[in-house]
Amino acid sequence: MASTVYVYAEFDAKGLRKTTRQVLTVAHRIAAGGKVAGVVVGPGDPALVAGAGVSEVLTVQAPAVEKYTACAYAKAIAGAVQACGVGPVLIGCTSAGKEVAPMVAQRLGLAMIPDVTDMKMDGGEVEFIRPIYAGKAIRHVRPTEGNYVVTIRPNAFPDHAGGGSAPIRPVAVAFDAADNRVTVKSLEAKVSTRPELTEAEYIVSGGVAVGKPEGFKVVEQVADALGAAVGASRAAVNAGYIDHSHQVGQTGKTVSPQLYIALGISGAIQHLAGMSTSKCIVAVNTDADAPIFKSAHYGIVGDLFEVAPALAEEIKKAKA
Amino acid sequence: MADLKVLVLVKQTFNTEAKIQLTGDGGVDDKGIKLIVNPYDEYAIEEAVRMKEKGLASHVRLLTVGPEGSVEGLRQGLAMGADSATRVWDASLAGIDNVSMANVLAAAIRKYEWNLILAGKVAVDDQAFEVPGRLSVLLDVPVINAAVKIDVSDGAVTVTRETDAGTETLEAKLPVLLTTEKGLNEPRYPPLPKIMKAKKMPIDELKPADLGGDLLRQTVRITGHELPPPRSGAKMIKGKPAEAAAELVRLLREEAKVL
Repeated sequence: MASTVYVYAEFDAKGLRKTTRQVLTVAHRIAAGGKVAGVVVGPGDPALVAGAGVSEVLTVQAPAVEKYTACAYAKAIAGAVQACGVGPVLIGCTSAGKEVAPMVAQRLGLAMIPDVTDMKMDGGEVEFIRPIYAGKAIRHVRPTEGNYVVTIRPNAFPDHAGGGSAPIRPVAVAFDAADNRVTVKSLEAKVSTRPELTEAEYIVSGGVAVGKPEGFKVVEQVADALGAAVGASRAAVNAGYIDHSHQVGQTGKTVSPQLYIALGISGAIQHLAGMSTSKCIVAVNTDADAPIFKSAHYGIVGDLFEVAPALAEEIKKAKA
Repeated sequence: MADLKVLVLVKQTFNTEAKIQLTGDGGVDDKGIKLIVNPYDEYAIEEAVRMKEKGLASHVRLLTVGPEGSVEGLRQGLAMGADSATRVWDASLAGIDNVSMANVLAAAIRKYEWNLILAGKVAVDDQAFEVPGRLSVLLDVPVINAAVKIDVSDGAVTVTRETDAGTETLEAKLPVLLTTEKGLNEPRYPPLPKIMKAKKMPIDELKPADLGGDLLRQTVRITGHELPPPRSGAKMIKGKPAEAAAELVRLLREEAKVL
């Protein structure tokens, strides 16, 4: 009998994270009709997972996991999986997922395949496909054993339709003082009303051509018309126009939205590497020979300070 | 005053402007590619050296697992101000996966006295974000990832980092493993005399046999690589800004169907 496939469920202010729904899609492909269990650690409503298309929800509640810390959460996830019979463990490649995954893998003695964007089944064996060198090459990799941990890149797979109402089962995990070696002193939640960069459906990015920090206002105009996240090139970040948390590229975030609009970005290979898997790429640049136009689907040669406001207006009209 | 003994984990990677080509048998071709210290590891080296300059650290040792060429990365770190460096290698380590890599590093780390390990949060080549987390479990030491600010006092670290949830400040007593993020510091370019001096510094060499135990285990098998399909170039939209914007929105709705 095939083992249960486990999915670590993550929450944000809006509820169950979109990435978790996408991870569920992968879990069902691997389970091929078998059991898929959601794992909820600490706060977060298990009922949301119970209705998201799983056979069972495992919950781990303890003082050690009231606030998120990577070490304690990894122990909780590994503990729940161990208690219910080790199987493949699937985790979203989010900021938390990235850091708990290797610890879960090490605790369970399993292989790990990170940042997966595609998969195929080949005669009962699973092959994972993942970009390396920030998308400049694509690697095909198979675990050599039946169980493994994988992290799934946000927006690479469709959301699972969900449904049902699975039973919720608390699992006891024994924590000790060592699990509180890292303590959270403060967490300032993001105040942005815009979506999270790596999960966003639309992204509008600005390059060094914005010229100054205030120059990003015009990028934000387009972003807000679309309901998009704001990204930036390394050059814009290095120039001090915007915070590094917005950087897209090999030394920033890797994104894969439906629509990526690059305003005043020339298209250095290290930037292209971070966004080339976007479904549709639009570039606006004054230089008709900018390399970004080779990678884009649509291009406009022009000044971003003229084109962007017009674009914001047209998008608003189209959405009205 | 805390007496930090710092180990910095260093990896050589392709430079980030490198164009990737494949070999005939589906591997990644490293011929002619300039290697650099993984950019995130540079932040780790710089931070360790600054701790030393502030009198917080008494010793900074660099540790790498890699072939002959990776000595260059260690020399760069020594020129930046690290005190000593260790390279672990023999042919049995070529192409090992991250499970084995973590085992080898953990065994090497156990040879030294330390209370702080610094490493880049991720390597820009395989982008696994995997080895530090495994080391945390193997060495039973807490890990805090992606630090953009590190303060050390009274045998504890206070670390600020950015996550999907927001800006977090975490605290942990030593010993601890910290991974470093862009924004933590500006790595220095060492002056020529220091580069020359670093060339003459000894590098401690270890072989897996010196580390004992069964360290290597293959848990993943790479079945091949491919290059992303080349793009044919953008459809260029002409006209005044307002016209071009209107036409673009029409194409996004009707042709690309993303709006």
